[in-house]
Amino acid sequence: MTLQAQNVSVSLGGRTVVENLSTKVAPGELVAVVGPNGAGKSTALKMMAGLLPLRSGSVTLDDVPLASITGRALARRVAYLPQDRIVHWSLPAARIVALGRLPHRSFAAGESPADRAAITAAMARMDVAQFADRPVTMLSGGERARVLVARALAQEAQYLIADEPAAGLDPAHALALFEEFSRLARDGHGILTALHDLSLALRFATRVILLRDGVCLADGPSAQVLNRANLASAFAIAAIVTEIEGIPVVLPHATLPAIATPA
Amino acid sequence: MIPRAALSENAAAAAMAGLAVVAFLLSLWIGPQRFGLPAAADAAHLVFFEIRLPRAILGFLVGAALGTSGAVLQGYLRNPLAEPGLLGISGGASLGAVVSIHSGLATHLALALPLGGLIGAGLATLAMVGLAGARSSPATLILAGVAVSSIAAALTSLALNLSPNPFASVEMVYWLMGSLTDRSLIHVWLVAPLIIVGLAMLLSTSRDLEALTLGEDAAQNLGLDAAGLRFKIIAGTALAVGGATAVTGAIGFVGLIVPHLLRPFVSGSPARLLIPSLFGGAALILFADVALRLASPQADLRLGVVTALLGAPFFLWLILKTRLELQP
Repeated sequence: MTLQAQNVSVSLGGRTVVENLSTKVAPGELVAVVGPNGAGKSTALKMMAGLLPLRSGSVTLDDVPLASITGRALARRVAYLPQDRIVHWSLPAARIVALGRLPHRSFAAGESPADRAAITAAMARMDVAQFADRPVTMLSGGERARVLVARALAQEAQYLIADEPAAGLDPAHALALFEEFSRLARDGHGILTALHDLSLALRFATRVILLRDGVCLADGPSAQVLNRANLASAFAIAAIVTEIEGIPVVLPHATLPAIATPA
Repeated sequence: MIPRAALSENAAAAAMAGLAVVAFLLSLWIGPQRFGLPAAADAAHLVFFEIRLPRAILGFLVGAALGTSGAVLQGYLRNPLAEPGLLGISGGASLGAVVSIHSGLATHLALALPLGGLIGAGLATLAMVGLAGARSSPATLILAGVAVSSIAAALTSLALNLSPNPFASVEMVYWLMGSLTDRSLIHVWLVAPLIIVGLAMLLSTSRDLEALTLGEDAAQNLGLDAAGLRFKIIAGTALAVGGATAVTGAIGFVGLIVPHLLRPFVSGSPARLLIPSLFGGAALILFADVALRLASPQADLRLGVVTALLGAPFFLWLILKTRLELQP
């Protein structure tokens, strides 16, 4: 019962973006992928969602290669939320969230009660019910981001892969988002998310994958991975890792000279 | 919230269907010379079955093809300025018809014109797909379509330039303007099956177009089969628009204007835009065709000219609207 990558390498435009990555997401886990810009986080997430051709290795869902699962069957089991918050037409927010139900509906079928329940629940969780009838292009960036997360939640897949879902959210909604992710993980979902807020990663993730230059530097419980030495080598930062009033905090305070990529 | 929105969206489809039916009946009732039909039974039969009925059916089918294809391409390319001519298929059909006039085949065989158009549309489609490649993105598809359109336009000009005699030139120019005049039931039998199959393929893309609202990665995650969608859009447009252009000549702006005007009534949904655009396109073509019969019974005003006259002011309106929306 896992979403698992084994020795996967991915090339985009002739450049190796992810190299020999092996990792997994199991139900109950909230796995954070962290790393500097260009480390290959988004590529790693897309690869785990089955959206990219692999140069080598395999990504499997319960030991079945993703490539051999049809689009809609995969969509019902793995939801993917891209980093760019594209919405091309000014659809009302409720209709955007309803897109998450497409994999559950046959071609001509309308919305079933289950669809409507999933849509309503997802919108309530992301606190976007009040935008239901508003064209999503008229919402603020953070509001739109929440509508798009609600779309992914409405998909009701066991695995959720979310690329920087908290970017641009106000602190209350960012916290609420990760509390929701934690709750989903406790309910038996597997969550894989890329993020830049190291404190959120340290506090909420059950596991952290640290990437740099497409290579996994560390993969383990968040408190073990997010230590000073790893942060220095991955991000070239000096950071204080501590607890304030019982809340784990990562506070980067200085840049370090960049460390050369190991040959 | 959803039921109310759905109601207004179905209302858009119903309103357009009603409008298309009215336009169809008007097209049967109004001729260039008179309203109604001639008193003599023979003449009435002749006028109805040989002139008015094929004209109305073709108007409906051609408008439906252009409106639907425009809506599908705008959704697929996620660009409100996309239109059926973009893929080079109508350019190819025009070239094929012009070649059949140039070669003199059209004077010997009445069906040489539409057949030439169909062959031209088919070749243009193959050329476009060949240029764009098997795994083409929407962007490369547009580039390939523009390239094929340009080549077809250049060769059409060449055919006009080297026209064997002035009568042929006039015939080619008139044909290029687009018209429903003097089409028979044979034309209907020739292209109706193609257009109907093409329309079915285009309409079947609705949920994929809806998913593409969120971009290609999210759409793929929602189960989009990118290769299947591309095939349905190219083949559907080739059959519907290629078939339409082969019998009527290129009729511009319908595929651009109709989806654009109807989009607000379906709250922007690319899927729910398809059926209203089908009927809206049919209604627009039929009304334009009726209007030109009333406006100039003698002058033989061309349908493509009328739709272009409607289309250009539409662009002005679009610019003004965009400017107003951008103002703080």
